[in-house]
Order: sequence, then C-alpha cells, then structure tokens
Amino acid sequence: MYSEKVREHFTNPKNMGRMEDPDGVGEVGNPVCGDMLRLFVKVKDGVIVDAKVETFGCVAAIATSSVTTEMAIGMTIEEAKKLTRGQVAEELDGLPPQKMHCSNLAADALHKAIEDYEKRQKKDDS
Amino acid sequence: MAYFDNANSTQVDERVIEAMLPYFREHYGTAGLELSHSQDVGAVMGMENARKTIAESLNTDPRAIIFTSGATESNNLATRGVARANKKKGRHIITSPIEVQSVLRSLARLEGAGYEIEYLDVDEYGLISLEQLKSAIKEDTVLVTIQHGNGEIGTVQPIEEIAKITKAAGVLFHTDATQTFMKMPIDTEKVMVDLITVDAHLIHGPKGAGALYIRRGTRIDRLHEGGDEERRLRPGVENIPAIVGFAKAVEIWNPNDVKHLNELAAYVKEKVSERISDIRFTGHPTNRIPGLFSMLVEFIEGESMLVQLDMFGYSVATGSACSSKTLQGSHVLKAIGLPPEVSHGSLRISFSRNNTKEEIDGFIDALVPAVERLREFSPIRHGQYFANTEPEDDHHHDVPGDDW
Ligand code: FES
Repeated sequence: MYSEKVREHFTNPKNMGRMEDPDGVGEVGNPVCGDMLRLFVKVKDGVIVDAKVETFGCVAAIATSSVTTEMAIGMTIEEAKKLTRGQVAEELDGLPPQKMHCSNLAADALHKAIEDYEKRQKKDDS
Repeated sequence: MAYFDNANSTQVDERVIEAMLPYFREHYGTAGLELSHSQDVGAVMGMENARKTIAESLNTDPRAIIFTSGATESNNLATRGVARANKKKGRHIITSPIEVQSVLRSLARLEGAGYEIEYLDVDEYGLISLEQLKSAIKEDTVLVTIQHGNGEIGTVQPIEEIAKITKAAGVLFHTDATQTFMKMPIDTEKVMVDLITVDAHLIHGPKGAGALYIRRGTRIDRLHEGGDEERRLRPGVENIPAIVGFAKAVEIWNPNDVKHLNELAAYVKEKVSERISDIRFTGHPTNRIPGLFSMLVEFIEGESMLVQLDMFGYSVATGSACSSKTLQGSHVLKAIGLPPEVSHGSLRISFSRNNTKEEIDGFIDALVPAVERLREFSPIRHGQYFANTEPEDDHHHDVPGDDW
C-alpha cells in the first residue's frame, strides 16, 4: 500500500512536464526495464529557482518526481547535491520496500541535471 | 465502479457459498472411511457427488478426477508426477515459455534433477508451432505440457491438434486449462489429452479447490506421502467444503455466459480503439479466452494506470515490471518479443458474467483521462525512447532482499 502522501503526489503531481531553455537537464533510466525520467532545472545565483520533470514509471516514480522537484526548488546547488533518496522517501511518509529504488530515479536525475548545469557553466566561463 | 480482474480471481457465487455451508456446519467429517459415522458419510457423499459433476464437465469417469488444492498443485503433480513415474522411458519434456510459473518452476526442478526440458518457440501471438512440436518429440520424450489458454494475453493453443500428435507418438500430454475451464469445454472422449489442470476460483468457485484429470492408464506418481486419500495420488484430508463449492460453480455455469463474455471483450476492444491512440492488442486476434482483453498502452507504465483506475473503482491487471514484487516484467510478454519499455504499458481487462456494457462505458471514461494525463508528462513520445544510461542506473536491480 502507498501512503496518503504518495497517492496525493501521484494524483496531483507538481512541476510535471517540459521546460523551455533549462540551465541543466538530467536523464536517468533503465534500458533493461524501461523506466525513464528527465529532470530540468533553472538556476539563478546558485539557487534552483525552477524545476520540471517528465516521468515514465510507476506511482512511486511519479510521486518522487513531484516531491523531489518541490524540495529542490529554493535549494542552493550545494544543498541539492546532498539531497538523498532517503530524504525524498521520508517526505512522502515512506515508500513500500520494493519501491525504494524508484526514489533513486528522481534524486539521480536531479544530481545529473546539476552536473549538466555545472558543465555548461564551465563552458561559458572558458 | 467495476471489477475487471476475473482472470486473476472471481467473486464466489452466492449459490456456491450456500452449497458449501452445510459442509462446515453438519458434514464436517472427513472422507477417509466410507463405513463411518454420519458426519463422515455426509462428507464422503458431498465429495463424491462433486467428483461426478467435475467428471461430467470433462466427459469422463469420476475415477479420472483427483482433487487438489488448486491449479498450482495440479500442475506440479502432473509434471513431476508423470516425470517420476516414467523416468525409465525417458527424461525429455516439451513445454512452452509462456506457461504459468507452477509449470515452469516445477519443470526447472526436474531440469536440476537431470531432466531435459525443451521450450518450443511461440510466435508474436503466443502460439506454438505444431511442426516444431512434431520434430521436437524424440525417443525419450515422456511428456508434453502446453497450456490451453494464456491468462495474460488470452491466446488459446490448438490442444486438439497437439493431442493428435502426442497420441500418435505415444507421449503423454498435459494441459493447464485453468483459464479456459467451462468457457471452452474439453471433451476427453474426443480430445486425447492425458492430464488436465482445472481450478474453481476463476469460475465463481472458492479458492483452494482444483482438480487434475488423469486419463485411465496414465502412469503418474504422487508427490506427497500420507494416507489413502485420492487413490493415494494426493494424500491429505480433502478440502471438502471447497470441493463441494467447486462442483456447485460447475453445475450453475451457463454456457450462454460465454456469449456474454465474448460480447464484453469485443465491446471494450471497440471502445478503446475509438478513444485511445498508440495502443497494441496482445495475443491472438481470434483464438482467445472468452472475456479476456489485453493490450499495451504505449509511452506509459501499467502500475500507474492500474492505481489511477483503482482510485475510480476499476480493478484491472498489468504485466508491468514495476508492479511485480521482483520487478521482473511478464515472462509472457517477453516471450512474444516485446521489449520491456513497451510491455510496461500492458493492461489486462478480464470479465465475468456479472459485468455489463454500462460498466465498460464508465471504465472507458476513467481510462481515457488517465492515459492522457500520464502521457502528458511522459518523457517518451512516439518511439523516442532514450537509454543513455550507465549500468549503475539500473535501479530495478536494486531490489531489497528478503527481510527474513
Ligand atoms: S519505476 Fe519501475 S518500479 Fe518504480
């Protein structure tokens, strides 16, 4: 059974969809089983000011996508780098054990989006 | 609101419950001894009448029916029981990759014990090839086990033709008819199948009651040791109330129900085709289990569809990897050649005689927005799958171990 919070985020997910002109994009997925997630961030003065996400996956993957973007918005880059799947799951009042791995998807995508952002920054600097 | 997961289990019919009750309250004896006290005698009579009913449904003698705890046990008994009893003749067994786990895992055990298990190919519909079967049979083949109907994609195998081949070759043939029992009757006088698995709970009977039909003269060994029940082939006190309920479910089955089931499946197919784009139907287009509709909805995942439909009161099933405990996708969808990201969107809608077209209308009205919503934020559009992933992203392999 999913928690009320998971069901709520699944029914009314936040920040879902594409972003025009993102500052960073992170994609994760699993070629074996096919789950995929693409997360976009917009950064201003070292702070994540907006985040969007596209998700192909189960209820837990959708709910964690929603809650991860919510948590990320307003965080500094350094804070967002430290965001773990454990924190994401906690925010959702827990996930069934066999679904814990889904929360990796969103957290990993966020980290990759930040990596992408930093790479782009370096390019701009040079 | 409606229950469309009848290939998983059905609601027990009230008449079945009524028929079972006396076997809890009055005839609570066992069927071990015929010349016993009245509680036992009542129990024996109930059970033997049930055996007659089940036998009639397969056009056979009651002595050909062995009661079991259900399809899983029947499949285990048929496969390993036959293998054991015939090992002097040979150790080669032929099957298909889309059998249920109780067949596949039972055969895997035999494989571990030195038997040779050969898996026939299935085509995109899940059908085996009779030609391949013919050429696969060898000197030391003892058993062919091929299901009648597939519970995930609905495809029905040509068991009559298979039986002709096995009969001519002198090889035993077992079929798992759990999904087709009563819906597609098997006349054992005409179809030369040697062992048939049947179960009560998909025809509005109780869980925990099944049977194995064993053609007279078939060499088969028991798997358990115990008393004299079920001609020692299946020792242990029988689940008499459930067996009586099983027979009642068979007795009240109305052959006209099949027509209704077929109509419902055709109706949902029509409606879905009208309202949803990018879908594929799975299984054979015409050789199908009555009342079982199966499809793939592209770009989205099945568990999320299932949960959203459940919020609207509709119960369906999916073969998506995400919805299984082990996160392994359906072996059936894999065997018919579907990549996991496509089989993720599988949906099975299976009807019972209690379902109506109005329920389907309501269901479609819930399904269409569910699909649209999930597609809206899917990163996949029209075949644009991306897989730029490194091995450590393989999150499905990050499955928690057993806690104990
Ligand atoms: S995305 Fe596959 S189990 Fe969650």
